[in-house]
Amino acid sequence: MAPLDEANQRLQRLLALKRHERPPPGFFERLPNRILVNIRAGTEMEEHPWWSYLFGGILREPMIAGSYAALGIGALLFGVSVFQMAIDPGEPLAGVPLDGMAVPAPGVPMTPIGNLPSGVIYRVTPAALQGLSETLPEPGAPRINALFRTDTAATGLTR
Amino acid sequence: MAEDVLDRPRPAEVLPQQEPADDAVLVRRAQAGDLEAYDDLVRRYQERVYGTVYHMTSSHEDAADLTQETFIKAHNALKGFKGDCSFFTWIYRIAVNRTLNFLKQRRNRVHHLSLNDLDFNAEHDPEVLALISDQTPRRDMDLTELQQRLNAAMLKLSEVHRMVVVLHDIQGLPHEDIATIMDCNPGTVRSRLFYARQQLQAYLSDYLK
Repeated sequence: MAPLDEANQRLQRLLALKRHERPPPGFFERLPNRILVNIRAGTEMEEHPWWSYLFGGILREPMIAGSYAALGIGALLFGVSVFQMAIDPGEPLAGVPLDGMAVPAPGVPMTPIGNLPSGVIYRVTPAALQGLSETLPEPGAPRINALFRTDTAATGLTR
Repeated sequence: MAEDVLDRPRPAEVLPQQEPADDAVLVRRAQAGDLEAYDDLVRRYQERVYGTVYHMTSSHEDAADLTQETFIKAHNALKGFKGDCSFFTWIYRIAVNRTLNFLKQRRNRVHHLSLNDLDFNAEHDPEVLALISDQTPRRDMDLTELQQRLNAAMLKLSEVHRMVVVLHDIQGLPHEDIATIMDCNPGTVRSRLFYARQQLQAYLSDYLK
């Protein structure tokens, strides 16, 4: 037990050294002021939210605020027009209706898309294409939609 | 009651020689929005809070930031302080939790020691003198090197073990206060302290022979 106590005493002497570590001179004089400045800034932010600063700025500098507003509205209108151009389909492809409402091929049973297993890659075989062409009533019929709407067995699609 | 306290002139204004105000009085005034009262509390506890955080992080910059954050957070939460424990215990608990969270985030980062200088009294402290006396085989080693080795050894301890060493062996708090601050029972504090000392003795065996 004695050696343990002795070792502990020496450790305590060593740890006493830590009590002599001091921050740079003047640190404890400055720290309370820094803390109070931050507390006051935080209180000010609570009392005056961001929008009060915004309105204050607008009232102080109406010309600059107006310029920024015009710039913002212009950018918004430009963005909207670019977005509209991007989603505009333009001229539809010949023979392929783009309304999304597929007409089922005659004699081919309708299969809800939800019934097809997900995560499976389908391979289109020549037989499938041939079978498909036979099911099409006339040129210009909804080929693509019919392909995805019909039963795999009926169209000859294989996994 | 609160208004009464607020309206009353500050003791310093009436009698400069008067005893410093009680913590509870300062807390009540600070809760009512008196920043000067809170400033008094900061000045009263800043050294101890900073010391705890510094000994845990071994970095002056981190300790300065965490001490500042502790007092700002405490001020924001002051309205919720019901006085179930002393202000001292409450502020310590905030500092300890904040420091432990900070150290968890720092675990994956490379950390460099940023140690404070030893004060002039270090060389005259009987404990330190005993350490570098003739019986010590490493008496040729200077205090700065010893300080670095000691801090490196402290950083090898887990955060909770380091915390009990800091609060008990360096700051001198009793086991019961540490248990309240760390939200555990005094038995846990004692066992952690015992284990932490054993670990430190192993890490510093060269300097403890």
